[in-house]
Amino acid sequence: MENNTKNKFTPKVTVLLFILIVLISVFFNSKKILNWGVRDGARQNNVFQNAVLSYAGTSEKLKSSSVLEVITLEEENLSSQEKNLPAVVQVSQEQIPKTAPTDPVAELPQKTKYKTLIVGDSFVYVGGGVGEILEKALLKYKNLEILRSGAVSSGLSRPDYFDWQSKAVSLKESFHPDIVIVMIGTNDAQSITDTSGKVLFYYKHPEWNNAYASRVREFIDHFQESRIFWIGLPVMKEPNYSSRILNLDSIYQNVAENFLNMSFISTWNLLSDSNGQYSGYLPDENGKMINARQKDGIHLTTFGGNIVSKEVIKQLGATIKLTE
Amino acid sequence: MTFITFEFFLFFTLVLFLNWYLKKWPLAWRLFLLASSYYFYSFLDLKFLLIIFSVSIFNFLIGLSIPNKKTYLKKLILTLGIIVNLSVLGVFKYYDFFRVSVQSILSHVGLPASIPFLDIALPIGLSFYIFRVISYIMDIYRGKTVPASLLDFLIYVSFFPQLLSGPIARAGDFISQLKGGGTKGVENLPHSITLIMLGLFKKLIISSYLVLNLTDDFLAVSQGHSSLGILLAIFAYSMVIYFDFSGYSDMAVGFAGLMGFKSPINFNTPYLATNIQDFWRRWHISLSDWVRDYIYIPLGGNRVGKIRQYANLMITMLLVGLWHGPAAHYVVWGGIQGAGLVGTLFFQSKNKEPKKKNLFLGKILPGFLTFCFVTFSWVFFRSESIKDALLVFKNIFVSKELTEYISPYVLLFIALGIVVFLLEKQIVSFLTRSQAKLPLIFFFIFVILSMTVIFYAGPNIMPPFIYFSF
Repeated sequence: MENNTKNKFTPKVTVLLFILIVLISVFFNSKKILNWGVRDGARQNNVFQNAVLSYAGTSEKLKSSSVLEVITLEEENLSSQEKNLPAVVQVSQEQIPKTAPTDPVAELPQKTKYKTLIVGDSFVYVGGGVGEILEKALLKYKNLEILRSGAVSSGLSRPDYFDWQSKAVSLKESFHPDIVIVMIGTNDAQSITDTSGKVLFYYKHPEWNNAYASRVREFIDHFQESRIFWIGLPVMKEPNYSSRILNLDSIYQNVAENFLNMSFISTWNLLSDSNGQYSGYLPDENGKMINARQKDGIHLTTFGGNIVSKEVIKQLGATIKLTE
Repeated sequence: MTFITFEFFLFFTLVLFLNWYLKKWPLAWRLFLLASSYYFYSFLDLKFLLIIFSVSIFNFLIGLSIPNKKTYLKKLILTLGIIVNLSVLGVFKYYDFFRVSVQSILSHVGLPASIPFLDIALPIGLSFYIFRVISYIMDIYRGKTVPASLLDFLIYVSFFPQLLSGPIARAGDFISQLKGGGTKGVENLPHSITLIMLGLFKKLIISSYLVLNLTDDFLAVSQGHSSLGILLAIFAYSMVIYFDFSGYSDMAVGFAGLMGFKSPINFNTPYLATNIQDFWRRWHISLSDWVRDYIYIPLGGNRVGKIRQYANLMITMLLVGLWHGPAAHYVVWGGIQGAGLVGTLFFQSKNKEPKKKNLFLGKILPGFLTFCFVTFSWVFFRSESIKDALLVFKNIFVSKELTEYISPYVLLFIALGIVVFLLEKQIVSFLTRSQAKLPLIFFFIFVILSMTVIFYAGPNIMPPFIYFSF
């Protein structure tokens, strides 16, 4: 038996097994891989990732009876275009999103308790991000009742993964928020799909911005009776990704200008250096440099989260009287 | 590129093929091992590669300089080596903590000083390979091993399955496996495959789901959660950290095994320990052994009387806490572990000949109490500060609600986790034996199907491995 076992499991068998694992597992998990690939692209190795993504794209095509636009190919074209971008994307002062002033028309009626909903992606959900710190900070105000609801990896582009529009309806019906604080979009600079996963517009499609803006408007529409504070996304470490985030911020800012009950809070200047560029460390009030960003160059440390949280409370305080 | 990506599986398949193909030419094979490890590490950051190479060359030279010298000279070279290695670790891991602390102390005493700010990223795996090189030069000093060839040493420091989070292999054990092209056959394929599958299952299924659906939410902001909800999250975090880290270690051992390498085991069903001493013999074993051999014993260990022994234990565990990060909550966590170890030794010294106990008093009750001790101490480990940790404990008692809705899936994963940590040895042994008995075609089907299902069932996002931060 011992000898049989040894003879049976040779190095050749081991290598063959792994070839089959890659071929078969990737084939069956192609959709998940395409999601992973799009989201975590910057953190993976291009050679192996492109090979896996292109095989996953082909697998998806084979499995799908409809003519599915293959995300991979678009993303590959995109990355080859973006490789020509300068390492540091220059951002002019005009391009940097600005916090929109609170509209006096949208001031909330006096209440003893304001129901406050905090929603969003990993910035809101994951411990150490904005959501947790903001929730902790808001809990000390007696006239606020807080509900935080976040979903990792979610956004408005991919309702096939997480449908924020339906979630917004259920949160509105169950909680009836007076105030809604939103931070979403980290995972949105990618192809827009419908709820079944069918790609409607890939990111660089000329109609993408309009389609995404209408998703944002649809989300805002669910909370017509609430005061909405939309927290913009900060500058990111990876320049190509950061330029996409800048585009998203400008969409949120534009949408906010057309809704009386919506304020846009820009975090770009709050979390960038004096030139509007990414910096992992930022000065505190005493000028000491403190780590503000997590290693991924996307999420925030407690210090970074506090910076955003203070700004949100400042804007919130301009709308309602916060009682400690 | 972590173990749980398809890119890694593709990379590993290629490495696996060339690993076995090149063994006929030992030099080419060893060069290939080094190249593949450096290639793997370069994914993270090219600068990290420069650091690992510099650290390796420095320690290689220190290793060469130690033998055949007078004792005082040997000691001097070794001390220099250790100081430089700890300085490298200090600069990358503790510089900012040091800078902020010193600045605030100086400004408190009216001496405002500006210590230069350096935007330094901690190279992943640095803590682990610094420990490897320190063990190498200390083993040479103690005459336990001889200086390796440069190529062998570079492979030892950077071997990719063990690079990012261990296990911390000893030079003597690892380098002997490189001789003559290493082993010519796969030692135990079903066992390695079982470890990889179990590791994937632990990380992708149990740990990730519990992090995403319970612990991150409940422990980050415990206010507003019920008493039992918080208790459940604390209990679940105990599983999360075990399945996260032991899952990684299982995969590291499994991948190295498929390439023909034996690795030290890192976990031995730690939650079945019956006291804290027993726990640390089963938890992160390669680190526990390292601190025993290179910190505790040089401090005098148990040869210096009871009081000094207790002090040595406390110092060792406080350093283990600090190794995890320059923060007071890690030190408190280390201190709790130290106190647990001292308490165990004190209790044992008072009961030299314990009466024969039944299963409940001998195993189940002490096992449960040890598990509770370890579980509650993880709250300090997980929190961002001591204040946050104490708040979690406070909220257990002051919460307005006793219970709250918890998804049945979360409870299912907790139940699955309990089964795995109670029966882990039996599961590994059963799966290994069953696979060995299967005809090759069914073995293939079983493995491929299992991997496909685990990947399919995993969440759409995987939280990062906890131990990559250290």
